Amino acid sequence: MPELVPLDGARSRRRHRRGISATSDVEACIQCCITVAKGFAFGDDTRKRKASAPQAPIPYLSDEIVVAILVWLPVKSLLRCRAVCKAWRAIVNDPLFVSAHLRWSAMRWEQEPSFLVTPVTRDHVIPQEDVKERGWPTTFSKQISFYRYQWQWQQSASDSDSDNNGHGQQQTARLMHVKELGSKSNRVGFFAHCDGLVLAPTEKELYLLNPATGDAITLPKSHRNNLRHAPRTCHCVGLGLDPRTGKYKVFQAFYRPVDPYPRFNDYKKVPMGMEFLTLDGGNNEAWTWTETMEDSVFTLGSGDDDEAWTETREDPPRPLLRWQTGVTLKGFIFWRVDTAQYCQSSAGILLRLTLELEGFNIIPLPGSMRVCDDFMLDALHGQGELCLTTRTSDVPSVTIWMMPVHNDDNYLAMGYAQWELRYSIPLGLPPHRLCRLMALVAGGTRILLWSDFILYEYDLATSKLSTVCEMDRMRYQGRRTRKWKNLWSFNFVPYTESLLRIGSLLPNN
Amino acid sequence: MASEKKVVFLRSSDGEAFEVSEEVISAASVTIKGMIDEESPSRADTAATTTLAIPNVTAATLSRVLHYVNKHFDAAAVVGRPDDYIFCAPGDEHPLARFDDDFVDVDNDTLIDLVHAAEYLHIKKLFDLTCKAVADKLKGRTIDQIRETFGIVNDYTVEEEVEVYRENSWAF
Repeated sequence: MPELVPLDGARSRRRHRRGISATSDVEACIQCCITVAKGFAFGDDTRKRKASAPQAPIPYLSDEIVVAILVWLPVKSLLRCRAVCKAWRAIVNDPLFVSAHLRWSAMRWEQEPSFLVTPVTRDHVIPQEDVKERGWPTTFSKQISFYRYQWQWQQSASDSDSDNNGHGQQQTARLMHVKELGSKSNRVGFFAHCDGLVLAPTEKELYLLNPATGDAITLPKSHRNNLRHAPRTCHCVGLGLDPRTGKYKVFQAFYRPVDPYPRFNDYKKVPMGMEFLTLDGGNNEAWTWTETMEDSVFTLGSGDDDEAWTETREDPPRPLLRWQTGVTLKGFIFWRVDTAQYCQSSAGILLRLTLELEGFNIIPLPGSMRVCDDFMLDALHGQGELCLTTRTSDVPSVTIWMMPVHNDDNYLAMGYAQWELRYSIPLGLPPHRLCRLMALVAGGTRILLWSDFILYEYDLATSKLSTVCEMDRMRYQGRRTRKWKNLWSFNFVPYTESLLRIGSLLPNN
Repeated sequence: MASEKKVVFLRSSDGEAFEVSEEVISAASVTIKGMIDEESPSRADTAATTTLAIPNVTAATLSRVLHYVNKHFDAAAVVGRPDDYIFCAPGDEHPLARFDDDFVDVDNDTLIDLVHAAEYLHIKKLFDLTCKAVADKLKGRTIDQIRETFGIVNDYTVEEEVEVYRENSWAF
């Protein structure tokens, strides 16, 4: 049982901490250990106890076995299980258990792919704002609700008569969490997801949530990103896991003001920087800020927002698109370059950030793509591939390019990125609309595509495209009315639930 | 040298002996493979079959375990894909999925005994299967029912318990 091995080592530490955390008083500590032992038998005690009292039918479980059992439970059940006894609580709170559970969760995703669905609604509609192409409305709801949708295997549409309505039965999404956003009319961007943590970028703030545990925080504001108050603002963000430190980092780009009072449209001339903050994912009980650079900035008092964000070692070598959420994969975050500003070359590019080194690389787009071709960028986590979805103008179809993402950089040093034209799907989209590749499901035999309000499924074996669901007509459990009033759009992201806690993330909390 | 299949005998804690193919049990149980490897030098000279004592497992449990082992690890009996983590579509069931479901459809004590046996014998597949089955039983239960099932004494003080409940009140 290789997954369980590190927990053996953690056991002594856990016992120790259990004593300390219960109380600092030694006597009470001993008392606590006795009560734990009464309620729970460990290791060899189990067998002795059982042998001495064979008539007692009560089965005792060692810590290792409890871990092996609990790891199969969903987050909600685990949170409840903490109330069973102190030993169980200590197990569930143990960072090593949290990561073991996350691995299990990711493994199960392959068989039961699940997604986070969030309807973006408006409080009321101002008629002049009701045209999507006209720009952004000002009346977005200040509440966001997180639903979980689990994809289920269905007989392919080609086997049944119900054409274009492949999944006859209605799809259900279950309510996980509702978050009130601080300020009114907050435009919400695409979510970034990493190991159950969700970064929700909005016009005014950045929120970090774990919808499974209900934890949520507003990230501190950065003094560098002061163009946020200007007419043109930068909302280019990303969330990723640094594989070296095992810590999660939130990134955001900012404009470097040359002029302290930038005028409208001046942002085009302003160079771009990137800053990040580190979340200490390693210790579940006391998240702290970590200082990744030996910079004197950190000697300022704690809890000051100014010190929360650190500049990356390098600036992005090209300006990034203002409103975008980076795609994270294997310790990298990928962003799209603002082609309106950067047109020196005919070849399109992406920027890749290495979380460990905080450095950037330029990744060329597929050679046959033109700079002006619009595309969507996504990560296929199970496969470890980056995928790029474009539409072809002449034939109504969608083209999907894939590129494997490696941890070693040899292939980049050799100067080429291996984009491969993988799929061409006969999906006709409305003008100026794109779709995103959400997942490869059913053991890699079907593709899930999302565009606007519709989730499509493409069967690779039969080349049949069907609609899985129309998101506005899905059943939303936990809400009385199924219809969303003033629905603007959806946020839809592959989701693995985890126990990672954000609770006491900020130093001043 | 031996053309016929070698067998070993396993003696349970209550003294009952069970015959099992050496090849099958070695593939299944790391613990027994270790025992056999230890015995093998002495066995080479004698024709006698080996009897291994399994002091922690009762006859009832051991017979269940061997039933599982013969189903899952006997190469002649296993048909189709041996990998049980592969995606199984509903219409395309793993041949052993039904067997597994029935196998763990037992009362709590039997199931816990199987967990202990699988842990002691180091049969990972069985350990995962039985742990998952226990977890499935836990899902719908109240805290008190869980304590009762596992014989766990509530060691929280009233204040502590209130605090734990408050931490995630919505989960209850």
